[in-house]
Amino acid sequence: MKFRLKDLEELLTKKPNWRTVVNLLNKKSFETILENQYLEVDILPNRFADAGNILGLAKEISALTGIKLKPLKFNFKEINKKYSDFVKIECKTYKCLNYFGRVILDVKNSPSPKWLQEFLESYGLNSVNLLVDLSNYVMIKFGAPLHIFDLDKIEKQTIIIREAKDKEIFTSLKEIDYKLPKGAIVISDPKKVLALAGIQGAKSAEVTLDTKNIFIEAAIFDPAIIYRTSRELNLQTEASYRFERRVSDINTLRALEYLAYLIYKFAKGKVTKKYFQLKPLEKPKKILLRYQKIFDYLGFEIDKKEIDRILKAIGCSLIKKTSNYIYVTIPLERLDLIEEIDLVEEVIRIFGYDKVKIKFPTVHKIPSLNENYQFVNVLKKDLKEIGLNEVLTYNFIDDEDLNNFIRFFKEFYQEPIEILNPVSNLYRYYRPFIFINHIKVINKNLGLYNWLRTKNIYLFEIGRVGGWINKKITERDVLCITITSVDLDKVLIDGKSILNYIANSLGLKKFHITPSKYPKDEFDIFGYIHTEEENILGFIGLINKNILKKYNVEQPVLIIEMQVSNLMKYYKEEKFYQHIPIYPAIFRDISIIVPEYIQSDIIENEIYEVAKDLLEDIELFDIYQGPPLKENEKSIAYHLIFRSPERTLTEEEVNNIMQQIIKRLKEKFGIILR
Amino acid sequence: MKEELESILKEAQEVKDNIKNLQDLENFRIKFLGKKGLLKNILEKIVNLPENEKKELGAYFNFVKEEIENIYEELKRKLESKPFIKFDLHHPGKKIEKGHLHILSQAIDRIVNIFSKIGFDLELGKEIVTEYENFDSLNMPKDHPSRDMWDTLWIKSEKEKLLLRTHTSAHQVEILKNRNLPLKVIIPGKVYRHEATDSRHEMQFHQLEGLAVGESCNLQELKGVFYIFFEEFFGKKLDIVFRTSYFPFTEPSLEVDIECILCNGKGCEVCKYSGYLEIAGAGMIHPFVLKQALIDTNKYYGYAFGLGIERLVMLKYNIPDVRLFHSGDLRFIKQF
Repeated sequence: MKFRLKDLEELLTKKPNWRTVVNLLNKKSFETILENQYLEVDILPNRFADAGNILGLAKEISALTGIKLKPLKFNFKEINKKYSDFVKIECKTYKCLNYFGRVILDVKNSPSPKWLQEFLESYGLNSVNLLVDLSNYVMIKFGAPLHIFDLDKIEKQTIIIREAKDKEIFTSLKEIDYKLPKGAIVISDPKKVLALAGIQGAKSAEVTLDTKNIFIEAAIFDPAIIYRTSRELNLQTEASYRFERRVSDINTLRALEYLAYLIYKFAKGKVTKKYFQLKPLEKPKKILLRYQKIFDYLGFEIDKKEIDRILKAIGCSLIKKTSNYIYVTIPLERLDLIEEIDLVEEVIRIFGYDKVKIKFPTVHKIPSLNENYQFVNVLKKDLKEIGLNEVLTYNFIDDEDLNNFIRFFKEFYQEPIEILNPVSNLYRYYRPFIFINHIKVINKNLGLYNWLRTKNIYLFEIGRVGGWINKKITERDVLCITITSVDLDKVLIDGKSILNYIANSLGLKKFHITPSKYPKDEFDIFGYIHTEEENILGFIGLINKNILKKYNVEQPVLIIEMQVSNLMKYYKEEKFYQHIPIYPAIFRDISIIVPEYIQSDIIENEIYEVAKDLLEDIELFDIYQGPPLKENEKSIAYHLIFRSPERTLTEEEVNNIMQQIIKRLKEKFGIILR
Repeated sequence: MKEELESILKEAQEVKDNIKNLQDLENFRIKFLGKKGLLKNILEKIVNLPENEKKELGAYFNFVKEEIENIYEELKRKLESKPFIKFDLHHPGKKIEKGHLHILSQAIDRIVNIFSKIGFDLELGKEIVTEYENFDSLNMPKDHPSRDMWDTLWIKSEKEKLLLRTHTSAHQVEILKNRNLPLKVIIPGKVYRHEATDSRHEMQFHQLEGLAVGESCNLQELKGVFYIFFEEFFGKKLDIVFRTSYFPFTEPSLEVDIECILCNGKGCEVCKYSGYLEIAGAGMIHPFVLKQALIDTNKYYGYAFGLGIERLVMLKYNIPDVRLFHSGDLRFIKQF
C-alpha cells in the first residue's frame, strides 16, 4: 500500500527521519520501501483494519519513533432538522454488523479541487466528482469505505439492508449486470437494489453533479460474506478489499463524521441532526498480560517498565498492574489484539527481535531414522552407482496422457484425481504413474539442440502417484526407471539387468516376471514384476510404438515402475557375514534351443532343481532368435557355476549333473542341445 | 674326454643362435643341462677317473658347465623379457559416465542430516490433504483473506474438500497429536500452488517444515536453529535477522533474513542492495494450533518454520531459474 510522506507528516508533530522510519517499520511492523516521497508498505493482513490507512500508519510510526500525533480537530454545524425526517432505515440481516448513516441536504456537487484530485491520483484512484472523491479521501485516511447515495433517487426514502433474493440482478456503476449469489448482502429501497453491500454502489442511486440531497452510509459487513461474494462475482473493489480484511466500527464512525465535516466545508451541505446507528459500538477489549509469558517466549527476562512503555505506545491504557501482570484496555481499532498472545507479540516486536540472542538448541534425544526415507536414499544411491540419472517431473498429466493409457490406468485405479482449478490444461490430473512424464523428458532431451551424441538415456525418479480407489484417494510412492536407446536389444537387456541389480541390492536372488495375460495396446512387451511368493512389486513394459509417436519419440522406450513400500519389505539393512568358499568352483556353459514361448525363468528353476545346492550361480549370457533357427524357436545360453561348500567337486560329478540337467530339460521342454 | 667337453661347449655355442622361443630353450636345457643331459652324462664318467685326472678334468668340466649355464641364463632373460608395447600416454581415454542424483535430492539429504545433528526427527506426509489439515487446523478460517496467501489447487471430490497441500505445515497438528513431547521434527516434501510460473515462481516446489514443542522452546532457540542450519548449509557464519510478519498459525510470526551469501552483506543485485536475503517464514506456534492437539499452552511452547528448498539451492549453486528443477533437462541434472 502506498502512502504519501506529506500526508503522514501532516499528522505528526515532528517531521521524522524517513530512513529511520523505514528501517524501524521493516524490522518491527511491515516490509517498507521508501521511494520518491512515498512509502510502499506491505500491510500485514491482520493489521489492515488499524494500519491500512493514513491515520493508522501514522499511529504505528508514532509508536515506533515516539513522535506524537497531532489531534485531528474538526467541527461542523447541524441544522435544526433530524435525519429521521428524511430517511428510514431497516436492517433485515444479521450479516450487517453495524450501520451508521447521515443525511446532508442542499449539497453543491462539482468537480474536485486540485489538491483532492492530486491526492486521489497519488493513491491510484480516479477523480469522479467532489462528493465521491471526498468519500474516497476519507476511506484512504480512515480505512473505512463509505458510500453516498442520492437521497432523491431512493424510493420512499427507505433503505433496506437485506440478503439478495434468488437470482436478483445488480447493475454496477459501469452498467454491468451481475446475478447475485446466495448470501450476498444488498442495500435496497422498496423497489430496487441501491448497492451491493461492501462492494459497489448501483447505478440506480448514483451521485451525480446534479445531486442535491444525500445519504451517507458507513457500515460494516460480515467480512466472510464480502470475501465470498466478491470472489464469486469476480468483482474486487477498494471497498471489498478493506471489508474482507475487516474494518473497525470506531474508524467507520470517525470516517462518517469526518466526511460530514468535509461535505459541510467543501460542498456547502446542510448536515441534519444526529446520525443513524444500528448498534452500539463494540466495547473496548481488556486483556491481562503476564510478564512471565513474554519472558517464556523470548527465552530471557526484560525490564517490566519497558513492557509497560510499549503497551502505552501502541495505545493501550492501564487498568491494573501487579508485579506479575498488567491488565490493559485495547484501542478500539486494534481488531487483531484479542488475547494475551497478541500482546506478547506486540511487546516483543517493538522491543526488537535483534535483541534476541542465539542459543544452541536443546537436544532431547538422538533422532530416530525414518525407515522410508532411508530406504529411498539407498535405492537412489544404488541406481546412481550404475549410471542412472535422477530426474524430477511435475506430478501432473493432461487429458491426452490419460487417454493414451486409460485402459492400463483402469487396472490400477477407478478414477483419476482431477484438479478443479488446474494452472493449465497440461496439469489437469494428478499423475497415476511417473513413466508418462518420462516419455516427455526423453522427447525433450533427444530434441534439445541435438546435444546428446548417443541416443541412450537412462533415467529414474522416485515420487508420488495416485488415483481414486473405492471413493478414496490412494497415494503411492513409486520408483520409475526409464531406458531408451536406438538399439532395441540393448534397451531390453539393460532393463532386465537393472532389475536384477535392484533385486540383488535388496538381497533377493531375482525378480520374477509374468507376462500380462491380456494384450495391452499401450505396450509392445509387458510383464508384472513379482517375488517368488507372487507378491506383485510393479511392472515392466516396452511402450507401444504408436503411442511413442504421439510424443514424437521414435526409438524404443522401456519403463519399469515399482511401488516403494513393496520393495521396502524385502530390504534388509543388516548384513551378516557369509563364509567365503574355500573349495574350487567348476564352470560349465550350456547352450540350448527351446520353443520361443518358454521363459528363461522356468528353465533356470528347473536347472536349480536338478543341481540342488551344488549349483552356486546361473547366468544367462545370450538369447538369440533368427536364422538358422526356426521361426518359433530361440536359443539360450547360460554360464553355470558349480561348487560345494563341503568338498572339492570332481569333474565327473559335474559331468554327471550336466547330463541329468540336459535329460530333464529334454523331457520337460524338448530342448535341443546346440 | 677333454675333447668331448670341448665339442659339447662348441655345439652349445653353435645352436644358441637357433633358439627363438622358450620351448627351444627348454629343449636346449634338457639336452645340455638336464638330469640325463650331455653334461650329466660326462660327469658320471669323470667321477670314476683316478684322482689326479679327476682333478684336472673336473676343473675344466666346471668351466664348460658354467659357460653353458651362462648361455642358458642369457637366452632365458632375453626370451622372457616383456615385448615392446606401444602406447601414447596422450591418449584421451574413454569418458566414463556416472549417474547423478537430482540436486534437490542431494540438498534435501544434506539438510536432513544437518537437522538430525540438532535433534530433529524426520516425517513424511501425504500430498493430498483435507481443508482442515491445510487451513482450519492452522487458524485459517473459511472465507478469510489469509487463505489468499496460499493459492490452492483444489481436488475434484464429492464429499470432503481436498487439496494439494500448499505447505508442509499441513501436517503440524497431526504430528503434534501423534508424538510425545518434547518433540522436534522436520517434514520435507513437495507442495503445490496455483501459480503462474516464471523464473522465480513454480506451481510445484519443495518445502521443509520444522516443528519443535517443549518447555524450552523460545525465540532464542529458534534463532540458534537458524544460525546453525545456515552456517552448515552455506558453509559460513551468517548474520540472522528476524522481522515481524504474519502467519495465522504462528505468533509471534517472523520473516527470517540471512546476510546475503553472494556479497556478504555489502549489497548486490541478488539481495537488491539490501545486504540481506529473505529465506524463511517462522514463528512461535500459535496457541490455537497447540490446542488443536490438546497441548497445555501454559506449560509448552513451540516454534515452527518453513524453508523453500529450491530457493536455498538456487542461492547456493547460483541457479537462475526455478523451472530448471522439474525440466528433466539432463544438461542440468548432470552438472551436480
